[in-house]
Amino acid sequence: MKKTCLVFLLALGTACSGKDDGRTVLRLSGWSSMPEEMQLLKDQIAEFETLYPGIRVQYEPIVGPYMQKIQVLFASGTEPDVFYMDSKEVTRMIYYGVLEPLDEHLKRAGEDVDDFYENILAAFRGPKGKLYGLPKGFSTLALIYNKEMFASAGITRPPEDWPALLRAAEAVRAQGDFPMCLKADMKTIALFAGLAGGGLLKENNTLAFQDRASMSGIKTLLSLFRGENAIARTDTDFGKSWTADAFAAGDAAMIIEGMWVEPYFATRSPDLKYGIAPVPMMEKRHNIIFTVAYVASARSKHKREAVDLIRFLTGRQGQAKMVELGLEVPSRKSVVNAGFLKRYPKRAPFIAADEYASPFGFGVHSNRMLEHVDKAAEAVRLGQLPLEKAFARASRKLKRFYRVEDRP
Amino acid sequence: MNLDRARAEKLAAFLFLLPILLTLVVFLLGPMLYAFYISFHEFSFMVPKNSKFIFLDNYINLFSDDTFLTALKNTAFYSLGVVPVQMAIAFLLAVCVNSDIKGKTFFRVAFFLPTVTSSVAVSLMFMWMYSKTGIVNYLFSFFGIPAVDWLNNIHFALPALMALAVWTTVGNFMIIYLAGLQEIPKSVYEAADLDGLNAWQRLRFITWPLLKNTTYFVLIMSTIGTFQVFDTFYIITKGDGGPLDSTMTVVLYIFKAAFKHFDMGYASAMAFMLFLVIFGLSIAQRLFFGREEEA
Repeated sequence: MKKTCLVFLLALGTACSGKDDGRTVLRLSGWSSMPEEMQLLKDQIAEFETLYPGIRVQYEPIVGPYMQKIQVLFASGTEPDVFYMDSKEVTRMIYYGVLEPLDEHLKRAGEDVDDFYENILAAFRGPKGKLYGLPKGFSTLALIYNKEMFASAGITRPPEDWPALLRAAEAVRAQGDFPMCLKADMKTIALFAGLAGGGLLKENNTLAFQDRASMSGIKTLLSLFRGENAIARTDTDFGKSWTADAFAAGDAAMIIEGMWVEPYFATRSPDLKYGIAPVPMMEKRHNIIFTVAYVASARSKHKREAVDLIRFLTGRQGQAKMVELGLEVPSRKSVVNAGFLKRYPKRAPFIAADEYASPFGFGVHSNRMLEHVDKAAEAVRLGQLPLEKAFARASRKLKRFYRVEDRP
Repeated sequence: MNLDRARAEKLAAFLFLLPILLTLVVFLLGPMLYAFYISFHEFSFMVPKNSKFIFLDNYINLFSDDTFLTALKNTAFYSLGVVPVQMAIAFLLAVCVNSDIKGKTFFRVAFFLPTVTSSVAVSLMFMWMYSKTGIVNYLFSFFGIPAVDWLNNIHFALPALMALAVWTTVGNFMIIYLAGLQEIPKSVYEAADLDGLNAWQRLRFITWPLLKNTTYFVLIMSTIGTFQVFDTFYIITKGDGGPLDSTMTVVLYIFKAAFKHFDMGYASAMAFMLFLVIFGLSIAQRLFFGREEEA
């Protein structure tokens, strides 16, 4: 027992001391969506180490629930120097004050921050516009449609606005196919609230989903599931665990999803013929940005090196390779302009939407917002509560977390 | 001399106990006391220095938090459903595999197997079985029952998970009952045979009363187990307790508060509430069994 303890303490000791063989040790953590991603990251780390001979990067991928592990690492004072952070979680991390603002470091290192799409960067900005992370890439949502089903329904081009989408849905149904597979979850709700000219959160950190415009967008979304002539079903209605799965199986002709479905389709059903179109416009155009950044711990003893690593991993070359995996599009304009769209013309809608999209993240209490808004939509969809009541209840539960004075 | 020896023996015993005592203090007692301490605070591990003493606020908020109340209600319903069914089946199975039927070793293994199977594997298996296109619906279709999305239906999700729980844990309690059965001396049954008791009378007047201590143990463990249910619910509902909190249990909610909302103080308060509930139930069961003993 004691021996084990001793060995354990020694191991802990070596893991925490930031030096070995004279090199500075940087600890790097993230999750991994696919094995190829991990391999690519390892290759990049090797490249970084030859470029910066004074630094050794210790890569410690986190398997399983990421933020839970991050919390425990911070609690024990053993958080990595550099790690992934989702736009949904970053605001509360900034609020806790555990992330290092990067502006000064980036300026000193001469980083060209303007090369990143400003809307994507905005997801990682805190109070006073301070920047806390550099995005490794991003995705927005798009309408993904089954080309064969569209062709047999006589639809020549993807719908551009909402009436056109409804017409397309009817045409698809007339051919005996089912129109849409959607999930009435937070990302779709945020999208529809925005499409109708509303949103979930106001600038001043108060709730916006009960506004007239937002409510009408959410109502439109939920009405898709209702009645005999419903044009949307959820994945579980099809006995599937993901909309992309139902789409690949030919259960539905349309889904609204992000870039991440592409590698899935490539392995699940390589023969699937699908098109990618911008999300049809409603009252206005709108979209949601999903992005992950590299951030640095405010307690890191090697901030300069940490920033070097972040710059390298989000740099032109690094990003150009990373986006080849097909999980995201580049967050750097220079990478997009270096022929990305020539190689992947289909992915243009994901990039173009950045202009009018807003990040997936709703203040310090994103998770609570997600929970209660999801639940409200579910209650409406299952016929448990009328729309207004369900969202009034969500608002009651969330109000104390979203006050003007707590504005981050 | 003798006194010294006794003292030396005591010291040795204490030294032998020391490693486990230390472990208990460091990894069990310490964290428990700390959790008790932070249950009176607004506390997050991300910024421990910003913790704020709020005395009983966490505890008071619990009673106006309908998610917590739903969780408590679900857990109680789950426990009330699972415990009796589980005990009855475990008892019957134990009696069966204790008799001289053919292949009893096979049955013992077969019934015990779910208990030693990883709960993740069991959960995934049941997710397939309960899916809209799964085997449960397929079997029901023979009786003309329309397909139900069991785990996404607010009325059926909890009962479906209760059935799963009975299936996985019944083997464990069967083994405990089996051990109890084998402790009953053969001579009692021989005497019963001489008195001309039939099988039912033997079960009712000999086996069941003599197993009372075992039953008490099984009841307590089963109740505690059901009140602490977490893993299968976490996996199947992806940590959500959905649909619409219909499968939200107390521990699942504690986990959510602690690890999703980083609200460690509130989570600790809930944990102590749960402790009080389980403690109260155990005392009640003890009183109930104890009184019967006197009668």
